[in-house]
Amino acid sequence: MSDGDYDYLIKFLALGDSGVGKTSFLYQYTDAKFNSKFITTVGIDFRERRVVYKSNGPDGTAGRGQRIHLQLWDTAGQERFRSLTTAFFRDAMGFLLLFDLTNEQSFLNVRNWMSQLQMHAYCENPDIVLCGNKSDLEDQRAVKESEARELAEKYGIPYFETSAANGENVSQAVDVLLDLIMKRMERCVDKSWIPDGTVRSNGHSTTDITDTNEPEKGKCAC
Amino acid sequence: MIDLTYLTEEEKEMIMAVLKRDADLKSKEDQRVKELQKTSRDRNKIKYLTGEWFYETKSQRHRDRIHGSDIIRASIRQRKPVTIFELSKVWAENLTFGKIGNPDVFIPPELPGLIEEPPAQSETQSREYAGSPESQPDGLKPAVQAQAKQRQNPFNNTPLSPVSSDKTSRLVSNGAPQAEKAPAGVIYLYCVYTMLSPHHCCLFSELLPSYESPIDTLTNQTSESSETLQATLNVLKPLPRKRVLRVSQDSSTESNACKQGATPAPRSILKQNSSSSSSDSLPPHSNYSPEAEPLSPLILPDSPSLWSSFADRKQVRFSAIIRGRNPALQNGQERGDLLDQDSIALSDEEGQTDRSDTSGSSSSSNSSSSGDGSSDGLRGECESPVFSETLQRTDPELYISPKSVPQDSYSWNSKLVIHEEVKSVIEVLTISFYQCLRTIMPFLFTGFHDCLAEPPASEVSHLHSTAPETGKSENTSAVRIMLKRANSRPMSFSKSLEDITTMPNREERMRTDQKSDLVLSVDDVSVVPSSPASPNPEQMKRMSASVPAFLQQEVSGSVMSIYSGDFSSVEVKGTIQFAMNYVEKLGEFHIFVVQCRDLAVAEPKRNRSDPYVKCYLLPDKAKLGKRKTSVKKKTLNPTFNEILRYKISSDTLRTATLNLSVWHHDSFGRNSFLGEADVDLREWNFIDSQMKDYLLRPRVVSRPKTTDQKGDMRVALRFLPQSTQSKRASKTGEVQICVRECKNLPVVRGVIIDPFVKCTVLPDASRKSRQKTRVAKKTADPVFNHTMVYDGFKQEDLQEACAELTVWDHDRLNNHFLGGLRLGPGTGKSYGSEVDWMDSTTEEATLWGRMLISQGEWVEDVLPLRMLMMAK
Repeated sequence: MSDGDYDYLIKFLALGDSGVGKTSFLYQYTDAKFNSKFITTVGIDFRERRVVYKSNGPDGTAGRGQRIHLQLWDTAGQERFRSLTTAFFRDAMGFLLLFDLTNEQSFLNVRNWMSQLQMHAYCENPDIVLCGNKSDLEDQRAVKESEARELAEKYGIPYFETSAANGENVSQAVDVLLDLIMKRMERCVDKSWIPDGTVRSNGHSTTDITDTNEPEKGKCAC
Repeated sequence: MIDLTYLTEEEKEMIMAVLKRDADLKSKEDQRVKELQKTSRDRNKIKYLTGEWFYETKSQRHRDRIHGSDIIRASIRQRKPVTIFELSKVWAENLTFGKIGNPDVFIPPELPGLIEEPPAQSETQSREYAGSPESQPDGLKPAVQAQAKQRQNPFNNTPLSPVSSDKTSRLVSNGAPQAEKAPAGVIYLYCVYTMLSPHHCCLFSELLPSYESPIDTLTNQTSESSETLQATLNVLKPLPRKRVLRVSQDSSTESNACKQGATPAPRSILKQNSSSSSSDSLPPHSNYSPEAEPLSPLILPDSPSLWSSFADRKQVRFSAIIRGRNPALQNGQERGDLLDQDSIALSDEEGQTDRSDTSGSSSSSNSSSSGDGSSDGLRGECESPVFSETLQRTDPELYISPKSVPQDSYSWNSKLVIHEEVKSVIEVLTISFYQCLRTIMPFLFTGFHDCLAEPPASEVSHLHSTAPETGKSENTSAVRIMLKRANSRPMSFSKSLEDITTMPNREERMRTDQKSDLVLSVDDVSVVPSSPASPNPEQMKRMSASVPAFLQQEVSGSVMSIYSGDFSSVEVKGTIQFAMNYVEKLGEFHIFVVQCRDLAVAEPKRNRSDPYVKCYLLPDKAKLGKRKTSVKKKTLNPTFNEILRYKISSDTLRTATLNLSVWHHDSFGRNSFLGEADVDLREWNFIDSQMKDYLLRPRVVSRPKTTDQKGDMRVALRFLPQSTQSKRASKTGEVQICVRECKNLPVVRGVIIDPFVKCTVLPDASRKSRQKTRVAKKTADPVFNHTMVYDGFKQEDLQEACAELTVWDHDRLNNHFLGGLRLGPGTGKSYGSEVDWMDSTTEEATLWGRMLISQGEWVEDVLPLRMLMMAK
């Protein structure tokens, strides 16, 4: 599979508390399988998948499918691996931030994960998708969808209620993230006429009234 | 580097296996990128095909191209140090310069591992400056790695000359965990360094991880053989150097330290390394022997060109090694703010210490590593402005001391014997070496910034004077310029930190604003203009910003859907069946959503809808959120059989309105509205829990106000044809508005409100037109008796004007809109054009009319307050 026969190599990273389902999520995405046994990830791991992306914008590659090779980093949620996993944040172009819908603490920690990302990622405002996993366990739900959506809106990121067990929204979440990256890429490159090295800080929307951004609006620092 | 000592062997192995897979993937990717580069495609396209766009953006922040996997790999490899001697053997065949004779020099622990790894692949060195070195530690096999990966740092292209030193142990001591192991690495650094052009040096320092280490080490270095420094510098640049890259050395390791053809430059580096520990001087390079085989032949790449090219780089090469290298280990903060200062200071310091060094001939009469005292650390009299510039950007100023060049008559020009082929080999070596060292050296340069305190300006000249070569003048100014430039460069890092911190604040503020009680009922909310053809949340939010009350819902986002959020207009049809029940025991209101029938198709392309039901309770007081059922995929007749619950008292419930809406769920969040039904719970007897069918209705934007929910205001008006203020007879009169009192104002903020009234006479909406009463504390029935006067009105004007009175609840940070009046003719037009605000009700218009008739007489009435559309 990884024979260089693709158009883009895109790297994503899944992060979140221990046990929220990052490994299962990625496993579901790449292999469409689910293993309910809990095997904690040791430090770091990654999976790969080849997908085809069709952009639908009026850009040069509209319509034509782009072969994307996805490298999906799977980080350990355990505290003891924190320093190790954090080192990988810088390498990822997009992030899947997962929490467990049946575990309120994991949701509360989303804030912390976001700040970690903002600190260590490749730029201040990377593309992130928030996923409330284990949506199939509706009777054990401890986090309201509204709350989660509100939080996601506050950060201006898309939110999905996913289930690695039954696959609900798993592909969608990754697809949305991929779409964000591809769009950001196009925006970045479009600006390449501006001389290199010019630091264009991208900060946040100038209209502070409408601070809550649309989901999927990524910003590029280039 | 990170401390990963807590990992068990098994874990380390597992992780290494993962890293190996990653390395394989990377190598394939690099090959692909290489191929791509060969094609003559549009530069832009190539940029994002190769992933360059990402690295460019990343370099704004991290300033290096080290991958996380490299860091981890290096961190894991904590092996017994290999001696440089051994290492040199490895490289022997690839290096034509002198060997490392000293067997005592140890390589930093990571290096062996790196070295031993088989070369991943060879790649062509395509650019002078590349991104961060792809961390193929394997790349240590220099010869094989003749090519730098695209993303490799140009520094990687510098030849790496192993330097021997017998003082490895002393190299890096302070505070650095692997102090003992560092020396070798330092030595190597040193070697490499000397061979590098200035920007290579920079890169080198970039490679060195930044850790805290007392500057003292640097400062304590007694500068020693200035000659060595000189030599080093000579080696480094063709022009007279301003900065002396000093490597602190042990005074003991005086002169001619460089025995093994190690170039002086590395010594400087070494010095710097060791300087990280306060009192350590850099011993290793003290072995430098001036007579050591000159690396210069190898080193002297087209320095001028390199320099200039480097100078052209806008990015600072000397990335703050300290920062960003190991996020996990960062000293809690970005050092951006230190950068400039440091760099400048460093350069200064150098000058000073260099002085002694430069005593010798510039051409490195002595090779002994100048055991520069103190702050020297690695200071080099870097000629190149670029160099100094970059140096300034890093915490640890890495200066290569020209003096360290061991060569005697080592003048740059004379030694310009470049062995091209060797050069490339060495470059590769260097690059790989740098990569390793980078992740290895924890203590390098950490203390640097401390000694970088002095302003450079003064030093510049000093440095300059110490420069052995001639032609200093231009260098001085160049250096100065660079210094200035470096200083003035914005600290992107600290800025980014700023952004990080301010963003949440802003968000927080927004959040708190929205956390007020729901002020308006849905009815009111719906009065929001329906004009936007396709109202999207953002737009609505913007609009609602002008009407703060709209925003004051606990669940702001979700409430958006009350009056918008619809992404596509769908012809509403169908019915919804549900039952209601109130459970006294639990104090809960249950809505049993059964099913929907005959829904519209939301996605005509795919001929489907994925419906779900959402419900709200819409009283004007309660702050309850929405409830949703699950999404039923691909059906126009979904059966839910789900219960939506609200914890609410029956009293509150009685005043509420249940609003159920059906939506199509779109995977991207752009849900489509499929219809809604309202149930006025005031008419519900709480007993009837039959399942009933309700017809789905389209969104009703403007709902007529049903009852008096906003209270009312007693207001009096008077129009004086002649203005009382004007002294002479004026043609304009004035309108006097007296806000007497309000009654039954809606208590939106829990239990109390602090109301006040604002007034403005439209069409003049300017600030000066606005007047307001005082804030009445804690009352829903405030008495104001506040008269406001507006003059400049002629009789005719009154037909086109409208007095807008709005009642607000004053909350510490915000005011919440409670209701208002528009007193005017209610014609819908003003001066010929249609306006929104000429929408007075009959009662309001009547009062206004009465005012016009009873000229000069007060007319008064009690008018119910209503929701107003405000065009702020």
